[in-house]
Amino acid sequence: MTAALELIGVTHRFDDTVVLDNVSFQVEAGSITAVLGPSGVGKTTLLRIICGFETPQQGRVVISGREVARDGDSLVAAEHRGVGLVPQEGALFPHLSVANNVSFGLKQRRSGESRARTNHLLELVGLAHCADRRPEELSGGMQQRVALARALAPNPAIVLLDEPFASLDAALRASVRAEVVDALRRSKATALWVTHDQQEALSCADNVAVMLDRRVVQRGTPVDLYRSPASRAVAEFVGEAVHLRGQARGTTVSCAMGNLQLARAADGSVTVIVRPEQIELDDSPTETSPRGRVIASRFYGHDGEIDVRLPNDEVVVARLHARLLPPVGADVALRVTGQALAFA
Amino acid sequence: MTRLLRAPVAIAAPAMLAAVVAIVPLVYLFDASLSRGVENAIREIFLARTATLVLRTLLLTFIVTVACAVVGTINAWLVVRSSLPLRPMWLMLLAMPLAIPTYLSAFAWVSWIPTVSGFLGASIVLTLASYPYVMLPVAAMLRGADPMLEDVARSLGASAPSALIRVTLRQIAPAIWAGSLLVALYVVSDFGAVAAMRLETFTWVIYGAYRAGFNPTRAATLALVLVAMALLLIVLERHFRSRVTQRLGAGTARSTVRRTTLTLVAPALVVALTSIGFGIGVPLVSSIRWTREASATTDWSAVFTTIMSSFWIGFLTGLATLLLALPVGILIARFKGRLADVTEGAVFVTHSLPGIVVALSVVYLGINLVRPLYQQVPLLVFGQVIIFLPLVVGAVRTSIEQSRLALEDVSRSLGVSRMATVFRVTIPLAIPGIAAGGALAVLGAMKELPTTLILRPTEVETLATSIWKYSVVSDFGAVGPYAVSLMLLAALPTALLSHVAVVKVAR
Repeated sequence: MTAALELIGVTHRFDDTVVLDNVSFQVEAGSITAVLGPSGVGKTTLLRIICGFETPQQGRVVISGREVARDGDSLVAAEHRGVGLVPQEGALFPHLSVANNVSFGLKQRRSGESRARTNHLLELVGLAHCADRRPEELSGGMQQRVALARALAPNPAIVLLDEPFASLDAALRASVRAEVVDALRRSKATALWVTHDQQEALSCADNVAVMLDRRVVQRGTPVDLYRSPASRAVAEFVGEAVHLRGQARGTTVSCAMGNLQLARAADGSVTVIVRPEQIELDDSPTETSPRGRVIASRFYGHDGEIDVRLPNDEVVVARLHARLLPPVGADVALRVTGQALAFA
Repeated sequence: MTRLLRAPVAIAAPAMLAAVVAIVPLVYLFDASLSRGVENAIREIFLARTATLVLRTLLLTFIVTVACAVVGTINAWLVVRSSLPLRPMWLMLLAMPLAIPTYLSAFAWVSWIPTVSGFLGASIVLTLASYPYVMLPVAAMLRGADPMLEDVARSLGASAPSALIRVTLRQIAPAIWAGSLLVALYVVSDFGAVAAMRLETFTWVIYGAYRAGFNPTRAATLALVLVAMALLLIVLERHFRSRVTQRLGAGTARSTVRRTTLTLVAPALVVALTSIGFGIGVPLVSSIRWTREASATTDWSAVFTTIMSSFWIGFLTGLATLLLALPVGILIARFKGRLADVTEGAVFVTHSLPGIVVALSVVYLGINLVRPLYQQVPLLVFGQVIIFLPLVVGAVRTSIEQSRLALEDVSRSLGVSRMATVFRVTIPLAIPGIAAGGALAVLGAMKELPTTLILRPTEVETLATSIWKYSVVSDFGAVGPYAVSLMLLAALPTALLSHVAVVKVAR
């Protein structure tokens, strides 16, 4: 089975600034892949290269087995690549109705077939009742769903989503995101999703490519990335991290939180990383249990976090059920569940 | 981010044609001015009477520009920021002087108060005709400027007038500068008002040199000096326009209207009423009076024929200008590159060419290259296209630049080619700008005097030439019907223009 999209050694510069450095990954047909990276890491440029609006100086872009760009040459024009684009804030055509936006990329737009396809897609995104409305009458989330329907209409080999929910407010984002993922799954579309939001990437995608400093530093399933990040930078980027100094020997490490099991063997002086949710209050402490004093407490409603200063002055963060939050100033005993990570 | 892809031929070819059309007059100017040698040309420039001419033109320009900056800014503030009721209607009325040609206003003033003729009259007429060039950009910028800044200034202890001056005036300063320089450009280029007021400025003297046996060297050399002045103004204008920035950060669109006290509104209202009263009132009332006085002797079928020729020439000019301006606007806004730069430069320089200069160069072109077309409608339209091309390109280009690039990218990714995207996305989104550009050209062509006087077929009279023909012999009774017709016809595109401006300002 060929991949829907393959990037091989893609390198791109604007003038003398390298914006993409030897980027390679592939997207399996029918999967949702997220490209996760902080702002300004070249994610949007990557999408423009795949679409055909920029041509990479080096490397190859292959869509459904067909080479579309190679080493500074665009072999297939943007309009012939079969790539659906959902830009930031949707970018619906303001001069067209919702239905005409969706049918924009169809051949013979006035045929019964196109109309049926348009209706089908509007139903898929749950907006069949809005077909005759103007884009400006829709909420931001609805606009995003129309933009997705429009991108899916010509049956593209792959749909590219560029920070599609960045402009929505937090409350709306989760529900629109769920609806979009659901529509993508039901249409069995292949999607490449660019985002800087770790939660969004981890919760929506089958595979995640982490981009840091202009290159892809790790690819894998969301669980792999979170549990066994390839570097300290990835570990810190994909989730909250507690740092401790430690001495590793094989699969154990000794640090201020005691002797911990390591996911990967290491030796010598290391930085130990554990996630805040791995740190718990120890209600039956022993003499060797790590102890400390609560110096800050944050209540989030469903859960909360405490900062605990250990005897050696290192500070750890623990995520706890909200009803377990101790008051500031309390002395607590802690324990670590699961395996820790160690990086030299 | 520049587009790496070059423009399609269907865009590039007509744009190149437009660039060639735009520089034709300049080629002529240099050719004619240097035809008797460089020294002769230099001698013409340094004649004492040329110096007087320069000084007089500069003084007129300075006085009118300052007056327009004040009047235009006050009117803009009144229609955007004050709590005056019916503000869109006020804006429309205040923009109406754009519909009235300066020679018509000038004749109306002279027939009303004969002693005003001369420098004073020209200053009054040009101020009343040109302040909208300051008012419209300032109103747009006031609308776009963040009104919260004024509130912040107030909360920091500044009084209302002090906040107005220290914050708001500073915010809109670039728009005032840009608008004022545009006014200056139109004053140095104006032919109608100074001709009607018999004030010897550049344009009037150039016309005289042409009439008196067509002395091409003197006319062309003077025209070159005029073009140099205009070019300087337009370079400055562009510098200030580039500083016309919008607010920092998006923020939420809030009403920009501020509760205003009578002490602030009353003086502004006096200015506005004076602008409307003298700017529209004087020519309108005079024209109606003339028409009624002479109603018995008016040959209405001649008036009708003249209206039709004005309308057709205006329509043809509008259409031809749009057809050239559209590819140029698209090229400059969307396909940046060397070709776009060259085309932009050519059109930009053309903006500094006064109508009289373009007319002279097209005469030269007609006599030397396309004799059969000399004093035929196509050449007249050609001359007017050169004059209005920069304005229309500006309108088209601005509205294209305002639409999001992402929309065109989406269209391409949906399988629509670049040319089809231009037709299905770029142009439909730019319709307001295109309509405004077309209206500008039609309006301009109907008002345009020197080009029509010089290039029209001898048997064709337009409203502009008829008004001129009867006014110079003070036969105002005969002028009346033509004047009223021209104002009514010109009111249509002006209403469309100020509607576009209102929509922009009201957004």
